[in-house]
Amino acid sequence: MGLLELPWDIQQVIFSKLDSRDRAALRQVCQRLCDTMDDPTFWKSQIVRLSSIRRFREPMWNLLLHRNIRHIEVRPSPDETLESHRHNMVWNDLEWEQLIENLPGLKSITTPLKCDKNKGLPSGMQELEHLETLTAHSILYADHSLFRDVSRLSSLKQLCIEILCVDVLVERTEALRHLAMLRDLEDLELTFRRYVLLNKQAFQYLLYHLPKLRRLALRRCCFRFPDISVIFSQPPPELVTEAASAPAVPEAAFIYGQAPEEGKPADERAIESAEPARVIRLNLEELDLSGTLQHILNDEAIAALDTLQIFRLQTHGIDDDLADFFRKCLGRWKVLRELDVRNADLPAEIFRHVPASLRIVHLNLTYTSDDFSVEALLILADRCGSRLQGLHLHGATPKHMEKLYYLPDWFPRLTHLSIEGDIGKISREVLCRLGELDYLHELDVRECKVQPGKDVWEILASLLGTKTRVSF
Amino acid sequence: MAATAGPSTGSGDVKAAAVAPKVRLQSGDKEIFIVDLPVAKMSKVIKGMIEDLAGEEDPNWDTLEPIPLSNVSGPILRKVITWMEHHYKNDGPEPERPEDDLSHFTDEISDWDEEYIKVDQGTLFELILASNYLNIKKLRTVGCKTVANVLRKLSVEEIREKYNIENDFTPEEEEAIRKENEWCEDQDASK
Repeated sequence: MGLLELPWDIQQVIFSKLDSRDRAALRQVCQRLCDTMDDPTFWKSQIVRLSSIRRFREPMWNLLLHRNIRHIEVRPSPDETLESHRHNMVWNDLEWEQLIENLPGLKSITTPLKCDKNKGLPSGMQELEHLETLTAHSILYADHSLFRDVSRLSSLKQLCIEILCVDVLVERTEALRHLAMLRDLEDLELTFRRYVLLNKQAFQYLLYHLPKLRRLALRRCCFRFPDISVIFSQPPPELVTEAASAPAVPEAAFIYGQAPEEGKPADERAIESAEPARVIRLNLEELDLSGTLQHILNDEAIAALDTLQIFRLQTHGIDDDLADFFRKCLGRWKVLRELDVRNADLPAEIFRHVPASLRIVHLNLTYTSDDFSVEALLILADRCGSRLQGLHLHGATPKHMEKLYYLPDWFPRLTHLSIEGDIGKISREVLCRLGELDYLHELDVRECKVQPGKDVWEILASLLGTKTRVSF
Repeated sequence: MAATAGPSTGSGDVKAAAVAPKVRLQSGDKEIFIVDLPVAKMSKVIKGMIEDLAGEEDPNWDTLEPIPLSNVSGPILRKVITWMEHHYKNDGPEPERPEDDLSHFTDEISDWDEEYIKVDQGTLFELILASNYLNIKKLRTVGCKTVANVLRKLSVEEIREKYNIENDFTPEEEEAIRKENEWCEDQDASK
C-alpha cells in the first residue's frame, strides 16, 4: 500500500493539511503527484500573491487557470509587506485585461490601484462580474469615474478603499452615490490618508440604499457638518417622502421614532417590502469610526445603532464629551461583543456600563492615569471577567506588567491576549502566572517596543504548551 | 439496562454492577474481539450494523452473531479497539470549551495519540484505511495529520525513496516544473 494508492478522499484530507510550499515540493516527485497537487480542491481558498504579471507566460496562466484560482493579492515584490508598499507609492504593471481573460472567476482581489483622474478602474477590471471582495489601496483619484466603475461590479459584497490624494474628493462626495447600485454590499470601508471633508447627504443616501450592509468603517473622515448623528438616525429626506407616500410601507412611522426592540420586526419587513434596495433603518453589526472627527453621536443615533456588535473608535486628542457618549452608548447597546477604544482617554468608571454581552476589549493603558487603568481592568473583571475572551492592552508599561499577574484571576477564560508598549523587564513571577490561562490560544507581543528578550517568551511558550501560539 | 445483560453476582463491585453489554467483532482473518457496546459504537459503521442486527428490541448480546469486519485485519482491529477504548474512557462526552467554537484545539494531536501513532508506514496507512472504513473521523484525522507532518519534513528525493515512487519526469519536464515552482515561491505560505 503506497501513498498514491490511498483512496482519493483520504489523499484529500492529507494534502489539504499542507501549505502551498509543501505542495510545490510534492509536484516535483512524479507526474501523478504533480497532477494531484494542481487539483482545484487544494487551491480554492488559497490566496495567490502576484508580484508582476509580465513575468508570467503561457504555462503560468495555464497553471492558474487549471487550479481554478479564486483569490489574488498583488504586491510589487514578494518580500514586501502591504504596509511598506503603501508608503512607497508604487503601483503595479499588471495587465488587467490579460488577467481577467485568464481568470474570469476571480472572487477577491487585493491590489494597489492608481486610478488616474477621470480614468476610473483599469480597463478590463469592470468585467469581473464574480468579484465579491475588492480591497484597493493607494488610490490617487477617487472621483466619479472610479465609483461609477466600482458600482458595476455587481457581485461585490466587500469593498475596502484607501485613498491617498483627496483634493478631488472634497466637495465631490456625490460620487459615493454610485455605490448605491451595489445591492449585495455587506461591508464598506473607506480610509483616507489625510483628513477629508465628506458630504453628509451623499453618505446618508448611500447607507440607506444598501440593504445588506452590516459593517461600516470610516477612517479619517471629517464631515462638513459637525454632527453626523443624522446619518445613522434617519434616512435621507427624499427617501422619507417616498416611503411615507407609499401606502405599502406602514412602518414609515418608525423613521422618526427611537424604535428600539419593537422596531426590529419593522425593519425586517422593510427589507422584504416592495423596494428591497432601500431601508428606513440601518442594521449595522460593526461600526468603525477610527480617526474620524465628529464621532460623538446623539441619543437618536445611539438608539438607532442598537444592533451593533462591534464598535471601534480610536480617537485622537482629548474629547470632552467622550466619556458621556460612551456612558450612553454602552448602556444602550445590549448585544455589543467587541469594543475598541484604544486611544480614547476614558475614566475607568465607564466600564461599569459595558453590557454583559461583551467578549473582546481593546484598551489603552497610558491615556488613563495608572491607577485608573488598573481600576478599569478591575471594573471590567467585575462586569464580565469570566466571560471575556479577548483582551488587547495598548501602551503597557513595566508597572502595568506587574498587574498582569492577576490576569488569570480576573479573566480566566481569555483566549486572545495581546500586549503592546514598553514592557522592558517582565518578571518571572508574572510570566509563570500567564501560564495559568488555560484557554489561551494566542498571545501576541509583537508590538512591544522594548522586548524583554526572546528567551522570556520562549519560557512562556513552553509554559502555555502547544495549544497557545506565542508571537514575539 | 445493565441488569438484563446477565445475573448480578452481587459482588459489591460498583463496576460490575454497571457492566455494559458486550459485542463481538470479527476481523477479516476471523479473529474475534469482545468489546463494550458503547466503545464499539464509536465507529459509526459498527453502530449502524449493531442497530440493524439488534432491531428495535433489546437483544440478547451473547447469542448475537459476531459483527463481520472483513476489510480489517486482526492486528489492525486490535489497534483500533485500543484507540477507541482509550478515547472512550478519557474523552468526556463533550469537552468543556468556552462558548465560542475553538475547534482548532481539538485539531492538535494529543500526546497519547502521538505515542499511539508511532508505527511503521504500512501500519499507519492500514490504520487510516480502517478508520475510514469504520468511519471513526477522529482517528482518521490523527492518521492523516501524521502523514502530512512526515511529508512536510522530507525533500523531493526522500519522498520518492520513502514511498517507493519512481521519478517519471523527463529532464525537460523536471526543469519546467521547477520553474513553475519558482513562481509558487511567490505565494502566501500560510494556509
